[in-house]
Amino acid sequence: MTWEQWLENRLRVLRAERGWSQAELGGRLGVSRQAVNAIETGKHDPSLPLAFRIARLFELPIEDIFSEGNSNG
Amino acid sequence: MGEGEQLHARRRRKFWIILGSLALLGAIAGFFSGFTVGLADAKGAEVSAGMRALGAAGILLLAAATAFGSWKFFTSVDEVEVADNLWASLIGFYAYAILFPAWWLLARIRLIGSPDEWVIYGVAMLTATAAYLYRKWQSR
Repeated sequence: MTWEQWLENRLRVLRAERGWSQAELGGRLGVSRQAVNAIETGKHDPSLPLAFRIARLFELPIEDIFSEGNSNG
Repeated sequence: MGEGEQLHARRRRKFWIILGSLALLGAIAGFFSGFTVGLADAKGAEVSAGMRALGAAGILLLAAATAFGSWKFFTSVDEVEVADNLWASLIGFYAYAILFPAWWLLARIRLIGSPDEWVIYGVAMLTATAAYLYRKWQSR
């Protein structure tokens, strides 16, 4: 595991279930479409405040959206 | 267009208005300060006090616009944009921190000439810009 990226998330699945585009989700979260894409593809681990906003928006506990990655580095 | 997409579009518009205003202000200030510096270079000590004051005002305006613009920019963007800027700044700083002493040491053993501050500044800025664009390309 490296410090760089160790979170996995279900953001893309949850977004697709609601039929939202990345821009739609970004608007609802107050971030850019590129930010949503960076989180979905694992290029950016969200801050705690943003992770809480995501959890509130999807009405799920944070751990149902984000989980620890499987890498052993 | 959904509610979120409307908010997103509004947010993007605000971002580009801030960036556009800053670019315009920077261009105006840069023109006046650059014009006066060019005049000073051409005329030496013959530049009038009024022209010097105009140049100084342009440079001050440029510095103030950069400081205010940076504050406005960083308070309106999201955390990914901030992270991209931080990474780009760090990599740009590394370019400077490696290039200057390496060049200085090579100059000390007379392999090359003395360090050129504008070349080092340019390389640091270009490296930071390349790092920023690479991160933007990654999350496009």
